[in-house]
Amino acid sequence: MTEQLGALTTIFTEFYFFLTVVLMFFIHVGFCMYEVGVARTKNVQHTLLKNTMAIPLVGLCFFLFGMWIYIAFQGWPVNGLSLSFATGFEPWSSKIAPNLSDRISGVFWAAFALFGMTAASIVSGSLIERTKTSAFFLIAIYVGAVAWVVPAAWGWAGNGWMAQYLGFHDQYCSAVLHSVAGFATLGVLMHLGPRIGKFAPDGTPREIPPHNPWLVTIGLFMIFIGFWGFYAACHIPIANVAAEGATPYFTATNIYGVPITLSGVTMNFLLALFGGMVTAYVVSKGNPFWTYSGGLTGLISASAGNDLYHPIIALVIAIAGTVMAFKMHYWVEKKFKIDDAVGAVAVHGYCGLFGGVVAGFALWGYPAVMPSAGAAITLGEGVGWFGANAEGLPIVTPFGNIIGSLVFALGFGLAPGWVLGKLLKSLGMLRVPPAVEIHGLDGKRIPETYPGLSGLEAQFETIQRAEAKS
Amino acid sequence: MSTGVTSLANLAEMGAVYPFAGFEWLFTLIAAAFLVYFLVSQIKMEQGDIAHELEAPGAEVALAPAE
Repeated sequence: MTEQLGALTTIFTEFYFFLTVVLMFFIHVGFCMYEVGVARTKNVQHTLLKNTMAIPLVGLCFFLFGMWIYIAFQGWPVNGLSLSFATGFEPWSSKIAPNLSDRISGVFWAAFALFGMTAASIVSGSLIERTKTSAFFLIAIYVGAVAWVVPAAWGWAGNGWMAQYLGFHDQYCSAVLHSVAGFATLGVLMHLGPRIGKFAPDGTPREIPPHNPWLVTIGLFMIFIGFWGFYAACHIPIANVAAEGATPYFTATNIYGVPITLSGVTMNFLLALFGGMVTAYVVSKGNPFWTYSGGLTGLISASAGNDLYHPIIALVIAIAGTVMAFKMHYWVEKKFKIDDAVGAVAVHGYCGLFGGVVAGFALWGYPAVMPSAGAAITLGEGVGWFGANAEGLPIVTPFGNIIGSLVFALGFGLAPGWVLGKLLKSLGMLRVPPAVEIHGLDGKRIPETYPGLSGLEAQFETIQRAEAKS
Repeated sequence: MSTGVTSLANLAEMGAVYPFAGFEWLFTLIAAAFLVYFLVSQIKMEQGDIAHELEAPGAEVALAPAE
């Protein structure tokens, strides 16, 4: 840290990632508020703690093995079958601790850990009001620290083999994270079954009213805020991407080392949000839940290519993805009796897969990866199976993005989610007994949720007044 | 506790500055044990809670009428 430009670049990057972590915590504030609002009063505390505990649990697993997977698996199995245990992100590494020779690894780890917690929280809401806490924790560990991490290593890293050989492009994790978490949720829901009373005897779905719709909407608003941090954490904020010896070219880059502008990303983020919200408002005929969720369906549908789209392209993709998610949610619910309490399968699963596939068409031909020392990206041998540009860089194609998106959604989401759900169910660990579900998962703590309404507050008032008189 | 660091005279040469550098394998074992302990405790606690609920649902819920 003796050379001025290097020092400034390093310290700026360190501070940038630090702020993204702070912002991303709003996603968890939002998820907690949202799910608590959707839950009925008798399940509020269980819902809150189940979601909250995913934060430290996934975080610990990310410390122990999640981040190592992300670095170690980037070339595996195409570039080689061996896995390094000297990535710098093993839990015993001295780099992810106070170390004056490394100022980036810790904040970089934290950003990824927050991604993992987000993935686990996506699953959380759909399972509320009948899932055993322990079962959710095991599912959260899989989804948050393994399921999306291998796809990220392969297709969401400049050195990932899918990025280099398939030209896979998914800048803000539509397929890599959202589709994986959403489809894993669907796999678990198949075994979990609906809440008692969700479906009428003739199979007609019933609406289970949220205990506090205003927490739901404010929670979703919080998630919007957190998404700014999520987006920001997907960048390399400053890097010299020029070839060695050439005139320096300092820029922000996407996760693949390709130059982008935060200005363009900001426009696309907002237009996708606008498109999703307006469309959801219209198709749901002014339903507040869907209007806010529409912000997410729009964003997630456009996220795969929101680093490079025109804002109106982002808007159009957001509109299409939102209509699709809305229709698919109710069709799947009715057809397969899937009780997704918060619509996470539609919002994250369907939109994530849609976004990943669409980006392959919309960005067809654009260089998928740009190697540079500044972004620490090097090209492998024979990259670009589906095409390369004149400079030998792999290009984005529909084939690469369709293959990658399907492998992630089905291979790392749906299938393992189904197996995990089946396993937990067969061990009696998945669902609480009907009597507990009917009484409420908060059990003896139910009156503590709203003491003013349950009589607990009045009980103490009585004691206090009696003692004041004596 | 000892960091082993007693001088800040040569910052460019410095690396790990935390106590017990070199014992990271032990730190890893502590973190792993803590995680396993939590998961086992959680499963036991939940089994107990559910069994209790099934025996006497809401038994400890004592409500007074709101004033």
